Amino acid sequence: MTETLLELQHTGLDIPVGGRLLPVVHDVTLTIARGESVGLVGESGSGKSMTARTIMRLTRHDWRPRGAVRFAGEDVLAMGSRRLRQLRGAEIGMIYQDPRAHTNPVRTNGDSLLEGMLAAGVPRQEATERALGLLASVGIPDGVRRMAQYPHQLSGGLLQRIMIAAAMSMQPQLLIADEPTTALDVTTQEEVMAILGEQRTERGLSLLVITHDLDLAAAVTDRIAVMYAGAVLEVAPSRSLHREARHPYTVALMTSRPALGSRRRIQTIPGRPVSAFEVGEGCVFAARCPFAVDHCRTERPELREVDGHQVACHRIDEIGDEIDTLRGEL
Amino acid sequence: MKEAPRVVGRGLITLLVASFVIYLALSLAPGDPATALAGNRATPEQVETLRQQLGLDRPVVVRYAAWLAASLHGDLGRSLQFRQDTASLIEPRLGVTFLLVGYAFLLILVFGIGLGLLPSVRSWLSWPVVVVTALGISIPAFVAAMILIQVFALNLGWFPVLGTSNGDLRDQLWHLTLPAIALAISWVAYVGQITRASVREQAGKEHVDTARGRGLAPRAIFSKHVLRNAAIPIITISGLALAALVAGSIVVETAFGIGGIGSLLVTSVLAKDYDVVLAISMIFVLAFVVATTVADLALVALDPRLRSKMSA
Amino acid sequence: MSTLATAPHEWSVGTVLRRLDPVLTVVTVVLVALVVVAICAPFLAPYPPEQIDLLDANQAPSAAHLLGTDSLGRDILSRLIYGARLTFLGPTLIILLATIAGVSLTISSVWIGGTYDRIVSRALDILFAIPGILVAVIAVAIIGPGLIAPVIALSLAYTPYLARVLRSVAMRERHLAYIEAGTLMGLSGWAIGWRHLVPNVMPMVRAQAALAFGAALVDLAAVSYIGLGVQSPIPEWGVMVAEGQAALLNGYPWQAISAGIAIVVVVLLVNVAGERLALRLERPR
Repeated sequence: MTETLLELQHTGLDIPVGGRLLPVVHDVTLTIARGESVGLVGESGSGKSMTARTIMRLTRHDWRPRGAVRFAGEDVLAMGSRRLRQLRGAEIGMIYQDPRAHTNPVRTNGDSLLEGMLAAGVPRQEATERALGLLASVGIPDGVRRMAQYPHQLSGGLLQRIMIAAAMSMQPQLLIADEPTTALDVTTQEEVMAILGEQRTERGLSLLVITHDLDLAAAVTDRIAVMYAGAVLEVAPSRSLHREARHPYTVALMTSRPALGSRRRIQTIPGRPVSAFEVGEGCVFAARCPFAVDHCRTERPELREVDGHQVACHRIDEIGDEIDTLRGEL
Repeated sequence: MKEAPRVVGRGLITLLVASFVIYLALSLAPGDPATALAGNRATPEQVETLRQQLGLDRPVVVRYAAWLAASLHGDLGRSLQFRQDTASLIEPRLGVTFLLVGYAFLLILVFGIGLGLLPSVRSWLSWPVVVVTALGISIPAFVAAMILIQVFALNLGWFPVLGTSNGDLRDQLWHLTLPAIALAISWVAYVGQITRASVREQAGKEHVDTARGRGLAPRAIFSKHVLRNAAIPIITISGLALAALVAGSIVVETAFGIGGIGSLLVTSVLAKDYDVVLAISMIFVLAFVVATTVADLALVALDPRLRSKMSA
Repeated sequence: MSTLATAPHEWSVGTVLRRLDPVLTVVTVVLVALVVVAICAPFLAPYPPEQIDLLDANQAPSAAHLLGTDSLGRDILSRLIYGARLTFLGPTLIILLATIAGVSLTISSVWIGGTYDRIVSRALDILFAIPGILVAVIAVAIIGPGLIAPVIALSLAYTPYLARVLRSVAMRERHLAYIEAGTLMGLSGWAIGWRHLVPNVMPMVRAQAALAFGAALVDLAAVSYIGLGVQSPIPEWGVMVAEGQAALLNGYPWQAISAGIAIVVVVLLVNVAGERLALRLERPR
């Protein structure tokens, strides 16, 4: 196994709501190796984006992160503000779901592209040259013109490429892509994902792709972590997740997706998706899980190795056959 | 800036239409200037002759055009009340009014924006600022005048009670301090409120997170991403404030007995001195249009989205 | 469609309780109480408002005269209570007229569109550029001093404020599904405008009207203060500040200060109510 770059151990995040601290992320345990691409997949509200914010400590002053976040062995949650600013941008880059909302509308694209480098002390001349090179590498040949323009003069796809270029400009070791294509149209989505893939192979970059789209995650990542209600329930190789899902939630998720060419009736997961702060002490999926027993409702299961997957389920050894049957319907 | 002529042109049209409407409105006033000018002992024939001399028998549009042409040459008619040229009556009073308005505007910019920024420097000041601005907005200039006169002129004796100074600029400013505060107070509070709200709104924007994620220091984020964007509504309000201050001079000059064009307007209205009312109203409208046009130009310079919207 | 259009009219006990804003409730109760006091002035005021008693002039507050007396010996509290009538009536008329004008102009111009819309918008823009107090002064120059001229003028001056805010809401509502459904069903523009748009912009109108009420009260009182509005000896708060100013300069501040504070308190209450109403619009119910 290669060197671990990012390590999350029982990471959580509590946010004050009306005077009480409520968890939006319960328990995320996940590692990313250098050069590896990992997907973090879950329904909206499952805490994926909040996990990403915790990794970069893009939290408000009254939010309370828990557990451990280690980047290249260093404890991110213990970093001072100066060290944190070095980490952000120079070591971990991030791109967002809605590039338009995440770009300052009254500053030029050039300003956005250069500000990270300038803040890190790169001379303007050098920063500009680097930016032009990066723009070319993300498929924007007329960089000089684009840099003089304002965000509203660009399409969402172009803007997202500029966001990627800006993130890459500081040569980070890890890039977090938070729903990078959700706000874009389908053809642009593919281009943006292709660019991310190129950047990864050219630079030995690690990727954390946050998405609700299982197929997209499977296409661009090595491993996938499935999140539900603020906790990671299963981590599996992207290749085999589809056919060899282990956790009852993952399996249910697979059977609830429509497949092209299949006329099978889509199964829905009974019950309503719950948010992280609604779940109690036990397994976050217990309320909707057909296999849940009392034990599941009182103690939260840890991730453990099962046939090359990591699964957080107390009953995983007992329910293998039922899971196989469920999966057989795929 | 290619949008500038457009903005200025819009201002000129506003000025032209507004001035015509005011001219039209004042021409509807009862009472005949010719009768008034001719005096009580004039015969109907004499009044009729005077009316023709004054051009009052012509249609209002023609009279407006004549008035406009004359006023562009500095001829603003005659004051019945003072038996004097309107232009020479107004001219010496303009300076005081503009000094007062300028002073008040400076107070608004410094203290209004300053007040609004306090909560972002010290977050515990947020509530005090909310309370102070809510109270300040509710204090009309003439009520503020009473309180200021009572406290700072009568009780403490720091400032003169009433009147205009004939001395040097320092003495003039000393005389204008209480009036300027009275004039500015509700707008200081309002600009403070807008500044606070817009800084808060901008600080919560997603692109601010992007900047944090790029490793920018809090100070740089505040100036380049928060303040820069928050300036847009602040400038709009400041333009409105400047226009309103000019109108507010009517009240404040009366309250403090300052001999500017605001107090002259009030006495002219009471004396039915229409040429003077017309001239001062036009000066005010001109000032409003200039203030809002300058604010519009500043907006176009600050907000690139406005530029392409206008050229589109 | 019908649920959306009628949503603001659901007044079951449960929803009312849930929507109740304690600050708004308190402020509204106080304001209503002040209006009741103004209406019941003859029963509540300790003295007739115009009863002159020169021997009792310029008295400081005492048990006999809770807020003291003015330079003619009239009871200040009684004049404040009576003065509240015109002080409240003026802005009420202004806001009523401006709201009717603003709503009709906005809905008609959003609905008719085209040249009519452009002309209305430009005219309102130009009116917006002229501060209310100047419009009021010019109106007094034409019609003469009193309450009528400034009320008409300020109604005109406040129309664009209400129209502007309404316009943004109306433009948004116009494209909503229920309006388009109404168009498809063959309802006329006016029917849709009045039956569906108006109920849906009403919460916004209430908030804006409250905020404009405070500003109109200040403008109207200012016109009276400079001697162009309500004329002395009729009690009105702006007039009372003006009358009180001479006494204040002579060392008897009671009238000017108490009338001034009365104005500040009412404007503050109305502003808080307006802010609260506006705040409620931003939050999901």
